[in-house]
Amino acid sequence: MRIRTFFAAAALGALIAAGAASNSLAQAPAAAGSPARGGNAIIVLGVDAVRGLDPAFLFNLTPSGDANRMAALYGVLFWSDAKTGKVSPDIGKSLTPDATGATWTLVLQPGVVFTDGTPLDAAAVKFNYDRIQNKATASPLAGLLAGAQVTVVDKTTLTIALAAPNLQFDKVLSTSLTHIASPKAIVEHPTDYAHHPVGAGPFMIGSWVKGDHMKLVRNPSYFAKERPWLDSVTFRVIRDPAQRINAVLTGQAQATIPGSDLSYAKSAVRSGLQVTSAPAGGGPMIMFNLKTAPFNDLRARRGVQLALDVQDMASVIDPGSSAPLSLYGPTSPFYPARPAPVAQNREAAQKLFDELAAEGKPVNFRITLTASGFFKSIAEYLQSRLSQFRNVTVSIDIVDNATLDKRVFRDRNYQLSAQIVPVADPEPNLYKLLRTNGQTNHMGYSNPKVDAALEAGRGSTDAAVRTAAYATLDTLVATDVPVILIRNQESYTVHAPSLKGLTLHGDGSLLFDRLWSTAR
Amino acid sequence: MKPTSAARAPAASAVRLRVRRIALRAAHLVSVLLLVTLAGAGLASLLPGSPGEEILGPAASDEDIATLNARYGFDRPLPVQYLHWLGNALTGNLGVSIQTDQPVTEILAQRLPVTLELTVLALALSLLVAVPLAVYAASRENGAFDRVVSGCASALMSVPVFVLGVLLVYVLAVLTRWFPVTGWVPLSQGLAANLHYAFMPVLALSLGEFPAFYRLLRSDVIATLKEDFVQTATVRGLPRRYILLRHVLRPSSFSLVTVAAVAFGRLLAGSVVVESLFALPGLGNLMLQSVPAKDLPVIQGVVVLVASAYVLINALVDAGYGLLDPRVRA
Repeated sequence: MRIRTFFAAAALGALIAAGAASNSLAQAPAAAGSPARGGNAIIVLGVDAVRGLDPAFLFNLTPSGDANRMAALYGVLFWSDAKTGKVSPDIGKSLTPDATGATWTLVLQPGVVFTDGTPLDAAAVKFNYDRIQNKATASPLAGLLAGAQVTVVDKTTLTIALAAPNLQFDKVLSTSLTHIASPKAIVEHPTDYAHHPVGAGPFMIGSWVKGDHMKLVRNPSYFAKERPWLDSVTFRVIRDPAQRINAVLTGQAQATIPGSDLSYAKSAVRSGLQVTSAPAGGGPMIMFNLKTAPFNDLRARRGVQLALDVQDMASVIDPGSSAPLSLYGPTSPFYPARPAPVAQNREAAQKLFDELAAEGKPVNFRITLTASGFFKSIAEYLQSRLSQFRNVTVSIDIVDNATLDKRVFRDRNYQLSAQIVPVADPEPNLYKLLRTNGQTNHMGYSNPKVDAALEAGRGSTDAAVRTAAYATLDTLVATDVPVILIRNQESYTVHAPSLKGLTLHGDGSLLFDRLWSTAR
Repeated sequence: MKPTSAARAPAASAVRLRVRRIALRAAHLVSVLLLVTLAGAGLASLLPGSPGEEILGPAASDEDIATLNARYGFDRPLPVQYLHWLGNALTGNLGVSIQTDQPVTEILAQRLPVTLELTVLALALSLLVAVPLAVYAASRENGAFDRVVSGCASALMSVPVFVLGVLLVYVLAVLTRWFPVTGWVPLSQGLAANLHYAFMPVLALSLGEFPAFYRLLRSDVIATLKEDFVQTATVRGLPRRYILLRHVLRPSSFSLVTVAAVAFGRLLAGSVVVESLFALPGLGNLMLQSVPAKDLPVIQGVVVLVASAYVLINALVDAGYGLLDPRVRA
């Protein structure tokens, strides 16, 4: 793992050397000309679809993992703008709540069919959601539909009665429940459906050589008759992020998602490639374990918060980037008019550390992170800066992904770690992160006022109410310090100038029916 | 004329000896396979988490994980798991991948040709370059050619293979666009395309192996050149090239053959870095994908394959010594 990280760094060096001098991450200019049918695209991802593609098991739903494959194969019922979180219809025609958000009515486009010829109708959606809810399926998405009652009204209409009212359920559905699989295919492959996926998306499987490539060809029965524009999309896997960019640079591929480091996007721009990006809120964050010493004491968390210059940290761990000033991105309606991030105050930090030491509680802790270059840089930065303080001892525990999953995300057996949580809209990701016992609340954080603010935001569609609730949330998080945001969030896709029509949804995956190519 | 009983006795004895050697070699192979597969199972069991956790992810409940682990038999004690796997393996069934549900034999059949071709080509290229250079440099010990090539070999030896790979990518792919950055075209789709894609990874591996081959053979040739029989051949006026190729190279190749055989096994199992850098669908990438996922059937399949190759190649090398030096046959 260390070797891979090292050669990734070396490869990035080579890539930077290949680029011309420029320092800004430019977004792709607006596509010139009109979309035209034809052309093919090879898209390079970082991870193979080893577990197959089953919408009930969105295990690696990152843009460089399975999210893009899922979007190409299954299409989307509704999609969520990666920049704003705004939900728009696609295969689904409308999704409307009742007055309280307790029951949602989902209407599908008429005449949508899966590529096996069976209809994608209300019964098919119910089949999929019932399957997720079924305990025997063991779907990690089951919690999203816990206690919900899905009822078919007619061929294209169904209702979803939630266990608790949620006026933001459309954001949950458009990010995690948006892919629908063919019930016929699931029944035919009860144990290995993931390896025989059938959807109603813009593309269908042409050939799939596991460990090498997956070629998807145009779905002739796609519901939007003029789309998709491309004839085929081929997904290939290259583990090394810099090599992914090199593949696009040399014309071997047309697009890639290099990973979470923004410096790769900047290198790509310097090399003459284009980048379509979606700046959002949230992003990479330090998370403290609030259930164990030393960070079960607010003063220890506050001390670390005051000790760090997060702008300097961002520029060191991911050169050219900056730290966010709020939980929400600059384009979010919830972004504060006057952001007031906590400024570095070394004296105040030292005072807190000394106070804790005097009580016999010195701030000795271990950072648990993976060997990925980005996370390793976070660990090394924290150790080098915090070790300058008296009564602070920092050690680093670099572990593999499986160990991190177990130690941090499952057993909460850690003191300080990090995770990436993009926040295009506070729903659903901030709710999952900060709500007591939330799905990604690995900190063990619990504050009734925060829970109340989250519920207020979830329970209203009134912009003023939501703004007030999320402003409160921003303040409470800055005060309680369960997490510290350390770098601005920006999902992006690097692509050749010939590939047009890139639209980022969810956490940054593409809408494949909109892609078109000027290369023939 | 029929052989006499006195003549038949040594022949029968030779046959018995050969059979005994083959039996010993087979026993060696079996014991090595048992040990490495047992060690493979043991090491995989030391990895944190379980296949159930890996497949279902961190959000899954303990109950769901336990159910999945039970389905694959990962809730049973390690010796029971191992014996179960061994029983199936003896019937040619290496199991099914936990990640992909594909039979392991099918996966190995897909991946092995890539790694095997890389290994063979890399070894062939490094030997093709190393042998003539080493013989020529040794015949002019401490001359300008010897110093330059030995210096280059030492420099190459100190450069890790992934650095070589990155440099090759930059020069031969990004800068000149002569070769593809990554990827693989199987032989079945044409020799030219196959070699076009294989060139850079093969070159990266060869540059990593060449220095050791060169230095080893050079020093052995220098030692052989000081032997009496070489001096005699020189005094008899035999051409220098004839002496080097007919009288010096063969007896100097013992160490090289041994090291090349070890390198073959190592490349077969250990070209992980190059396969990862060039995104090649070989055994190295397979291991890289299977170990973190605790895909034990696949890990065991690769271990069996590589260990068998190691043992068989070493057996072939032992047999080959006799061809290189008749004294070994005696």
